[in-house]
Amino acid sequence: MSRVESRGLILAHFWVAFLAFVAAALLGLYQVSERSGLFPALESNHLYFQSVSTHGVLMGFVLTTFFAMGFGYYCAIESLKRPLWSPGLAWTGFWVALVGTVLAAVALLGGQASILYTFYPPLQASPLFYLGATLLVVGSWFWCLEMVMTMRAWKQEHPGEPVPLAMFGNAVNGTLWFVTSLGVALEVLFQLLPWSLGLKETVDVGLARTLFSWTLHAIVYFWLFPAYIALYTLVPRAAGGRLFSDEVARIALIMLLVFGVPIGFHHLYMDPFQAAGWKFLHMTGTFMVAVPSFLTAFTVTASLELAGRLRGGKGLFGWIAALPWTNPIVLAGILALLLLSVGGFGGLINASYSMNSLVHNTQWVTGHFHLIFAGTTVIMYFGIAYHVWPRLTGRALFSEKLARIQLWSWAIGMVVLTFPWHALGLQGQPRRISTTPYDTPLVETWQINEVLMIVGGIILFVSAVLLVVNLAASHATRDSGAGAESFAAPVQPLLRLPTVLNGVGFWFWVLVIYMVVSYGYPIGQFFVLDTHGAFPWSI
Amino acid sequence: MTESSAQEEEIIRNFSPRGTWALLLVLIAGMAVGWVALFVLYLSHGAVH
Repeated sequence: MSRVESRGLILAHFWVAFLAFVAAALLGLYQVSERSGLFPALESNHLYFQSVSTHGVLMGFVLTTFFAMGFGYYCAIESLKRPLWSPGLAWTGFWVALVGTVLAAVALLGGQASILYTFYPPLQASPLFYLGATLLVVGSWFWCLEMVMTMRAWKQEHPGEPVPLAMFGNAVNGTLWFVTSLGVALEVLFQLLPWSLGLKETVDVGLARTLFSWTLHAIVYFWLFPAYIALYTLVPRAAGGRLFSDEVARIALIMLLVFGVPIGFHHLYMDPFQAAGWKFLHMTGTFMVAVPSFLTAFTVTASLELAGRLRGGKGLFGWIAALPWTNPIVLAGILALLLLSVGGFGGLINASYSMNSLVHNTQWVTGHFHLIFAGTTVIMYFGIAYHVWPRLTGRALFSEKLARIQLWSWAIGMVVLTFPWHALGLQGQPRRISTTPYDTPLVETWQINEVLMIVGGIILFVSAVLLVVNLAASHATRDSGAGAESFAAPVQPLLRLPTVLNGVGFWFWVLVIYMVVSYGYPIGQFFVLDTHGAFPWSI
Repeated sequence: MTESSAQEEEIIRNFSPRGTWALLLVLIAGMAVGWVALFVLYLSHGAVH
């Protein structure tokens, strides 16, 4: 497959991702309106949970998986200047994942899978949904293999040379996602699917939640990796500078791989079937993830500072104004870093074993993960799309001004949406409910925040439509697009690297050992302790 | 090497991320204030559970 032919593969992934995104954004607007209690005609518990489930699956699984896959292929081809290891395998993965998406969507839209994005039992969906979700994950495994094998093929052709950072980051993400997704795959294949098919009567909820926690948090880093890779390799160059340190970027990505996966129990702090010691271990790992986050914030900001100084910025903060704020991917990067700072700050409360109880299952949690996911990750997806589209279509972007309006409106809309959620959470509003028809004096104090949520939802939906319109119109512009990709060069030229910073094999086994330590006994106990339905033939 | 690229190389060679440190300190200070604000908000609503 030539670089020109590969553009179809990448665009196919991106279009599936963004069409799912715009549909999910519309559902989000419905949900904030329904939940506010201000529109009685909209109120329907049944429809609300159907919508929330579809919104979560489309955003959390479809948008992210297809985008990460498409971006991985883009980075591989553009940074290595060679074809993929097996283009046929890449297309197979795409179709398997797409068929899975369609099956899951049929179940969701038919009201047979209103079990939220986490699909925790005893909520049960139709087998069609579980089958679709499984195929989506299996399709993404083709991508994981493609990333690792393409990098390996390049290394064989270039012995001793440092793998380009963009490719290295995607190979790390492929490894992370493969290990991460095994948890939910085990849960679906051995518990949920047989249970929904009626092959067994019940399911061990504790084991199911433990297996899902394996996937539930690390999936966030799978989503976040394309954003980080772009912040390291695309944004500094687009800003007119260089990457402050290639080695630090690699260390941060490796730390995310190692510490990002075995920490899922911070989603189970209130669950009774795991002992406090294991929760403490996972909490410690969760706080370790702050280290690569700080490394990334520092390295990318320093890269931007260098760019600003090269553009004539003076003084302690003069470089900020000197940055090219009109460049969509630079603007997206700055907004993403700002929202990541705020969202990460709030996340410290969720991650803390003790403070978590203050906000557990409140709207604070919804506000936090929307700020990190939609504020940081998705805004970078937009920036990446605006950056790569002219290179993929061979045509200029329809409107850079529209892109800037879209990015600003998304960031503002996300603040308007999520800050009230944080406030509502602190005031005790639960999440995962469709209406709040109780304790009237208390609910009345929430009203201003409910209105703000709707305003935020409207801004975000309009912004989502602007994105899709701009990208679609960019297929038909007359001006020619940008040339081949050029990734950011590091300040210190990279001549040689230690083997452990130039491959993923060593870190894969470190992660496997860490996973055995963190999850071995917590999962094994379900087969040892005398709990209901704990034996292998009825897990 | 042209005059402008020589100047760029000098900026890169002498670069020290002091502005980055300053910006991160400002952000951290802002977060510290945010912590206090959230704590006050949490205390303000009284018992709801």
